[in-house]
Amino acid sequence: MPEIKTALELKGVSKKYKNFSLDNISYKIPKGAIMGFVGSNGAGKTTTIKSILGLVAVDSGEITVFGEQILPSTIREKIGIVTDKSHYDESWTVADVEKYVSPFFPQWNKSKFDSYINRFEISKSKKVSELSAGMETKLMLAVALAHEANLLILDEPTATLDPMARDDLCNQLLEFVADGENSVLFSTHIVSDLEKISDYITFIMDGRIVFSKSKEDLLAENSSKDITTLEGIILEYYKEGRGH
Amino acid sequence: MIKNFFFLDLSLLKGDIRRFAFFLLLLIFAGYSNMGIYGVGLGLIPNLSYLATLPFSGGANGLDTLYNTLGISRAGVVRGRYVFALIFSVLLIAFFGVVGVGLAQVTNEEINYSIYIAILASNFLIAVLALCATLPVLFKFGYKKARFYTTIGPMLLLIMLLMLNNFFGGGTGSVLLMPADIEVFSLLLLGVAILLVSLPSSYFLSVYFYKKRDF
Repeated sequence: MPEIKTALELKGVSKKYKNFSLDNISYKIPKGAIMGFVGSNGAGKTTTIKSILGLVAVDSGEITVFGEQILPSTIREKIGIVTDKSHYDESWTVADVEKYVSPFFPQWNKSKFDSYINRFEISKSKKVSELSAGMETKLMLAVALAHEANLLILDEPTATLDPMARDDLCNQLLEFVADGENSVLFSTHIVSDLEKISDYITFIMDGRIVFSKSKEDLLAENSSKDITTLEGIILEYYKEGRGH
Repeated sequence: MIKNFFFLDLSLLKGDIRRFAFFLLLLIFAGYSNMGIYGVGLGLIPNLSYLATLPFSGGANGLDTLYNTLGISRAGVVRGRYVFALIFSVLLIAFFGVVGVGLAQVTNEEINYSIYIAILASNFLIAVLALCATLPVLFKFGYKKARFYTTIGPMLLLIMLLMLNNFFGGGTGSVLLMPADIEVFSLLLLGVAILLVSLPSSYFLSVYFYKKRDF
């Protein structure tokens, strides 16, 4: 059996709404890589992620994770999800989150969960409603890591984090992909976070992929324009796209 | 999987349990003061509709997304909700049955058990039918959008039955206590027949709606 080298692949994914469409979205994340998924608010990042997770039904296209079509069991076993707001019931305590969520994951690693909770300094007796946005993000990360996901999907997780917490999260992600088996799709509009950790960048605008390439290639291609930062490059693409 | 899902849904009721208990007692009292021991089961309809739809309230907080990340299929969510509603239907009917008998002991009221069982069974049937109508609406529109219709529906059904009850003069010959005139066995057969048609129809309609929903 050939070794699977791609963690996530989207081929021609399209979804039409009344006032917005995802148009022929295609990109892939190699195993062991962190892909930054950037675009302004409303560009289609969240809709793309929802398509990957099966939260919206796509009109056409194909999505595979580690070479397989996505099924509910794939999401449970292979994907960890971190967003800026958790979907846990607000009346639950952190201990309840573990109690109710862990039975769904056959590979749940209790000691790993406890160690992350301690490391993130989250009290198990705290209610979800009492957690700050940053703490909620960390709780979701602890759950994702404790169920031994191989692909982390982060949808704007740093939007509500302070700089230190963002730095901490970025370090966690680098640690996560260090063995070359795990991958990350990191959707954000804070490009500076990606400068430090991403291997690939995919830029989406108005529901279309503008580019999807490695960070090195992107920086090399734009070196002649005297743009040395990722943020500068993306801003340039954004202006071009808007016709400035 | 269904067991995990059931306990997850059950955990969502924690915050509402006191309100539910108050609601329950109020309706038992109201039913009892109007129609004596035979009115006790009347509280079943609104109670069941309230309790069984509570897990949907988490939808507004993105609970449907959580189910998705836990790898519960859309059909699995629907199945879990129906199992949840049916288990509570059975538990509530048992509860009302015992409360009625308890009240009769306290008030020294004599119970005709075949009438009593028939009344509880008919109220149970109405309650489950109300659920069969309510659940597809919740799966199609979500709790936030459908809350009004799903709350008002069973209430209207109850009010309509009470009005019919008054119209026919109340007492044992009335609509609500109609089972008094019918053989219990026939009533149960009729109930089973209705459930055999309405439950699967409602379930498949819910699966159809929920599979098409975008979150």
